[in-house]
Amino acid sequence: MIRLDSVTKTYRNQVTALRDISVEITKGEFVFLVGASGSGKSTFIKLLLKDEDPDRGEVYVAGKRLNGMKSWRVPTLRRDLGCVFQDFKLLENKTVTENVGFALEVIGKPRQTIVRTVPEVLELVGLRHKAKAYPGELSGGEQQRVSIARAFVNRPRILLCDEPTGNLDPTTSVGIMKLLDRINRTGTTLVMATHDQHIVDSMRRRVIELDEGALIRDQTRGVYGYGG
Amino acid sequence: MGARWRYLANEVAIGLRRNLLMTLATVVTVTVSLALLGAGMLVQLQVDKAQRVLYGEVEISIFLLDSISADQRTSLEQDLSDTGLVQEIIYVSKEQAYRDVQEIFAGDETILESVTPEILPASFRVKLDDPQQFEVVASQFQAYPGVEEVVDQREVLDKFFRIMNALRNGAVAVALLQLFAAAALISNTIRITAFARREQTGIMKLVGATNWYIRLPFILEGITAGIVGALAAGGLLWLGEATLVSRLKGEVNFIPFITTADVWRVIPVLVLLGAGLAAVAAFLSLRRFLDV
Repeated sequence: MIRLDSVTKTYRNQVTALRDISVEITKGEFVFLVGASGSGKSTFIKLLLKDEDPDRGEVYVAGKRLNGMKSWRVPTLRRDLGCVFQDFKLLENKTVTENVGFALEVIGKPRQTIVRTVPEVLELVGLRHKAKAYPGELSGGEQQRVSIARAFVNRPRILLCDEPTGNLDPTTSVGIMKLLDRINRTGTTLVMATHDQHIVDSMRRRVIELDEGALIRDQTRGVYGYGG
Repeated sequence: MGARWRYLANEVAIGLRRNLLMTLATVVTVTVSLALLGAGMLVQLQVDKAQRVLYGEVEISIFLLDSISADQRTSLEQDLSDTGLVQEIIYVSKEQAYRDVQEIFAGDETILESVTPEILPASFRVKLDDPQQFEVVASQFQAYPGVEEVVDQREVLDKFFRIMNALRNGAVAVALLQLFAAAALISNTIRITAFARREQTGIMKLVGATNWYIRLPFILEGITAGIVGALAAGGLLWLGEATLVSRLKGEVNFIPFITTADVWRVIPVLVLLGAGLAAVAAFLSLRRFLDV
């Protein structure tokens, strides 16, 4: 589902974000991407989104080779990917329903599909009763649920989460993780960058650890750090 | 498809309202530039019309000395037609010239009082097959016994047309400068809108909206401003034709003037130009700003 072959990425300011990374993630996996701030987790996710291009090495996502992909094909790639971020990225002037529907609207889905699908996915994330609320009226956890609903509404094959619990308290985070786990159980491959040790340790999933851009650990059913 | 069009219309309306002042400035600039350009085009149409009719009627006038004898006059007329360049020769006697003056300046008493048949020279009005041959005829008959002067009436017209052409060139030059300013304004307005909506476009990119889908509202916004400006310019031209030209028509009746139909011919060109210019300006300003 996702493969990186000897990928190196150096930014223009000479910071090397990823060094010679090779990773393969298969369909339906749940992978934690851990490491300190600046270890290259976000760059990893940006490469999968083709928001950034690697300097060396090959990136494959959802059966597509991203190197040299024409820019007009990028939208097709992104329709196979859902994204969740620390800062939710919701539109303040749109209701919950409109925010989620927006993701379908702008890729040209017909009105009937939107009307049918959005309530379904809001049900899934447990926000059916907040359908008409605006993001400003929701708690952080609820906003992140909306964001997850928007990422998942088009049933992507891969869900990429960059610090999805970064802005949330521990109790709320547990709820979000339960939701992500449920989504993963539908067969969606899930990659989650985080430095929430508690979450990683309690979930016991595959852990990929990055340190200054290098892959230093790849462990099935892992924990956040050795001896830590 | 319905959802898509509603989305587009909505986005364009929001964009235009958000920068009302910038939009207004843009529309006014487009209006002024296209009105000038349109005026230039109408002047050109006017010149074409006038030239076609007036050049068809102009003649050479060969003014005769009062001392010319009847024999000299007959041989002059004979030699003129022998050149083979002449289509028509009309003799205008002093009395005829006087009647012509009375007709042309009818109502203008000061001129009429100062003119008598005696001071007006008799002349031949000569129509050439090819008006360009004036020099040949002039040089041949300038020194002819009994001839006072050979005058090419086209010269008088040329002066008029030179003024018209200068007017047209001036209008077009200013119009081009203004169009450049209009393009810059459109481009700037769109950048501001794109910046204000960067969150939204960011999300659109993430969920896989195509480049065109993201750009279209911005481009349509520019095109709307362009078309509104062009229509306003068309309105100004129509107003100008209805007031200025119509009044001239009443007073000057020897040349044909542009009509409302000509204005209607110019307006579609202006609309196309306005829309095209806006589309190009918008597209160029977005290329860097909104790429995936």
